[in-house]
Amino acid sequence: MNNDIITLTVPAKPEYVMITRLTSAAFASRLGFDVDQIEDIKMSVAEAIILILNQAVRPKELLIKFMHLGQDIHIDITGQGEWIETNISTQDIDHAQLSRYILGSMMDEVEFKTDNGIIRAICMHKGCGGSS
Amino acid sequence: MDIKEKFNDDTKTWHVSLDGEIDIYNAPELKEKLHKLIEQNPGNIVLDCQNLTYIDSTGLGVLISALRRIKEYDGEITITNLKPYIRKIFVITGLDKIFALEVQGT
Repeated sequence: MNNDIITLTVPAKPEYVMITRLTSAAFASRLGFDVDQIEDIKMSVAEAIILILNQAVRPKELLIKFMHLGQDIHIDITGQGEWIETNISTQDIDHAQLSRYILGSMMDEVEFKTDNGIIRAICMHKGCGGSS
Repeated sequence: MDIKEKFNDDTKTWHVSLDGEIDIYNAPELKEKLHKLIEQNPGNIVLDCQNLTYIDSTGLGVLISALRRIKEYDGEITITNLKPYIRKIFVITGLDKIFALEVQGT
């Protein structure tokens, strides 16, 4: 399975975040991560998407790439298509810090790709997967 | 997500049980419900999370917002029966310091 890539494209809407969570959990399980690690990965994917959605602008679609490299799972989440203005509350934007704490704690490394203060993509990885 | 609530008139406390997953999709529904309960009967809230299987940062944001609102009436929110992996999220975000938490099996 090494170097295998799974690609998922979903509309950038809250109702589809569950699909990305389930896909990430299934892929991480297949790679041999344990139950706690799978929970971490599932949660991190959702939080990364929340960070991209809860901004002044949000993309039309999200492209999510799950990759198995060595013993690691790599996940890239990229906003694509037209970016449209949102009516997100300042309170929701304030809560972005919660997502950042969760991501920083649950993944080994997280990289934010920003443009004019807007997060356009988030790349992250976590190690210690099995060799299946 | 399923929400059940009952008000105890003696203790002036809402007992709210949360069932299922709270995420970015259904968190607004929880927010509306909790704020409505506080408006209806300002007091304390005990959240029973025995059957809560997942909560994300938007769900946590809703709980923070409800806590702010209930503090205006000198109320408190106690969160009970948290599964250990959900308690971990409260610890990571520092919210274990602002909510009274009780973990399952303790």
